[in-house]
Amino acid sequence: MKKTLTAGIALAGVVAALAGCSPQSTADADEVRILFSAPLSGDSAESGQALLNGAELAADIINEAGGAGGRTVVIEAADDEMTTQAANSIASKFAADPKYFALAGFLDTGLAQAASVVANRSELSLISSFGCGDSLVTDADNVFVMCAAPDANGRVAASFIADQIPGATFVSISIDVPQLDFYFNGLQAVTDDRDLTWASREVYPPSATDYATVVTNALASSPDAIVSGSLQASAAQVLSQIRRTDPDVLYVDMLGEGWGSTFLDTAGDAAIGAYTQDLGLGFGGDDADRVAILDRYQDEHGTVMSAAAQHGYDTIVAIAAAADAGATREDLEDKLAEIDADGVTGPISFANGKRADERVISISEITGTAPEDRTVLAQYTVTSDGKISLFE
Amino acid sequence: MNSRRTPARGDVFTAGGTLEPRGLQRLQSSAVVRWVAIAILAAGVIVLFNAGDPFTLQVLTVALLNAAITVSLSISFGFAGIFNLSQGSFYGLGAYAAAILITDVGVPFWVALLGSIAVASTFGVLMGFVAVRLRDDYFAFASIAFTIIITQALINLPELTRGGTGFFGIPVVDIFGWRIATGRDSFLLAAIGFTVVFLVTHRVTRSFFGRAMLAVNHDEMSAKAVGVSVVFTRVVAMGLSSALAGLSGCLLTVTMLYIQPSDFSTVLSMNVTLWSIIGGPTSLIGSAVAGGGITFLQENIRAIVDYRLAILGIVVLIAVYLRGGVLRRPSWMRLPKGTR
Repeated sequence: MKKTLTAGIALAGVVAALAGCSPQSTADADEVRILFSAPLSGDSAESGQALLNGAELAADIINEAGGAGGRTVVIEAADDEMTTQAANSIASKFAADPKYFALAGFLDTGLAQAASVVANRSELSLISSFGCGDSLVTDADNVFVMCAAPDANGRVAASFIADQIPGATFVSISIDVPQLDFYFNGLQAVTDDRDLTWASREVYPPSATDYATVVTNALASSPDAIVSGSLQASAAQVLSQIRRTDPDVLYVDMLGEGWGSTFLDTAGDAAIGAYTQDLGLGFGGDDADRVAILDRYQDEHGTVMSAAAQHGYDTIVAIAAAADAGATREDLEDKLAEIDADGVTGPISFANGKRADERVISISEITGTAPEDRTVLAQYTVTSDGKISLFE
Repeated sequence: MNSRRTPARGDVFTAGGTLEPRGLQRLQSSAVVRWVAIAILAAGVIVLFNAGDPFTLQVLTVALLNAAITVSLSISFGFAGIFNLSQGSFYGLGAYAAAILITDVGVPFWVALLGSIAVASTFGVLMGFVAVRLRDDYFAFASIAFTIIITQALINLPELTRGGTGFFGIPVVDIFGWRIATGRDSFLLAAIGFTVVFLVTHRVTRSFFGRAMLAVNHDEMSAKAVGVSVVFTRVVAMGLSSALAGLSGCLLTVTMLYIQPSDFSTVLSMNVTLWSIIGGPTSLIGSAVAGGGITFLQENIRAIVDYRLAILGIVVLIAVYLRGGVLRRPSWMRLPKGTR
């Protein structure tokens, strides 16, 4: 018994010591430290890294300009592995340690939702950079969402088709994942409002490598346009198969991921004439500051600044603006509601609630096989109340 | 008085010559009770020292729940010898049952807890019948298929489960006036849940039924020869194992207040089985330490994420080499040489 008791006390001591090892410190008055959650390993690591790269570029540019209210912006990356367990741990790390000014990032709605529960226990708020679902503002009251509307990309794709070909018939081809429901909702909303016919919805499983069946089914109704809900490489393969049968049908991105080198390398010449959707003003815009940011990103990372990267960038701009306005981590929520900042995608404000008031989305025609070979055809402003209009 | 009643199966004579129910005698003498007491003491120390540290409480809450599902797997995998790769699904079924019952039906915690246990154990019993027909690798494949089916069902029944983006808006529950609203409340509830799962598993595995499971596991023909029903043993083992996983799932829901289908994919089921192998499938303490300890270390040392699978693989190899887990199973459980 004595031996067991000794072992027990030793065990208790070790566990308590381990538990006590968790970081506890005080805030550094000279820095704005942001804990940034993104999947840096696993299947979503590419998008997660882009989200982080955008955030780090924003911090660099803000610091070069003197910082946020004179304080250095520091990004501390945390790999959430796209798991709820990791997101919860990251949120609790944020809640436990006052050195963190803000918690941001999150590629996925669910992870931001999970983190919000933990942060809420300490009466703290967080910013979802890319997770965009309605539940973040309907079921949580401490999450700021950088995107204006979850169905925005679907709305923009359908609006573009309606603007180009009034009375058009279109079909959609997409990967079969539930996350696309928001996008389809946007397509349906504009189809109902405008003179459009959605002839069929073709889907393929995530493991698909052959798209002949869905392409054949899609072209059977002789559509005027095909809306793509496919990711970069698979979107290119689908397009290549379409072009063999119908070289003229419009091929319009619905995901707003900004088709980059992966798409272009896979599609080759078939990419020319396709319509890609970018967050923000897009390549070829006439705003020199934004173009400089996009170019710098491409120089540093060798790829175009994707939608995720731009969302990451704007997240840090928003937090820095709040810090500049004198926010603390406890009243960040109040100060974020007052900001009026200028991000890479356009103006950033949260005057109407916890969603960004508006976002700008561009449709560009691909004119060559290099990432910069594209011409912006239309720019749309999507607002948090679901309205869409041509960008002024 | 005890010495005058009719002896029942499992009763034992104590050193003093009185007749005691075997379970009580074993429970009183078992070192396991001391270990559980020590674990609770350690938990208390942690709470006292870290009452204001949400990170430690959060990580320990998850670690305790992972320890609980690993311990519950001991019944089906360790003792009954069913190659069960679907423990995460039963955990998920319990979690979703609780989420739906609490949020959409509005029942109190206790009803949701019973509902979680009922749903998980019903599916567990069904898989138990599958385990009667399929053995070893074949059942492993069936259990993986079951996990995939459950995950897909959770994603594709949005009216019931909220779909792939997860179950939101789960309210804070109230247990006889105790609101599970803070990280400390969640930790304490998880600690209670773990203790219940551990003690129930301990009691089951040390009972006649526990011996029956071992008999079926090691030599089915001999077990049948002495009157042990293989069908009953396998079905009940799966039912009990999944019921305890369902209980743990309910606690996950009320402590985290958010769940999503991907939390209960094949990855979790595989991890639970790996933890069980590392800790020793028949060692309850080993399973608890492996399930909880690996979770705790993983969350505290996120830098090892890139090497996690490699480290786990090496530890599994060591566990397989040692036979019985890195934390070796207790000597009373080891079989004489030449029997395997």
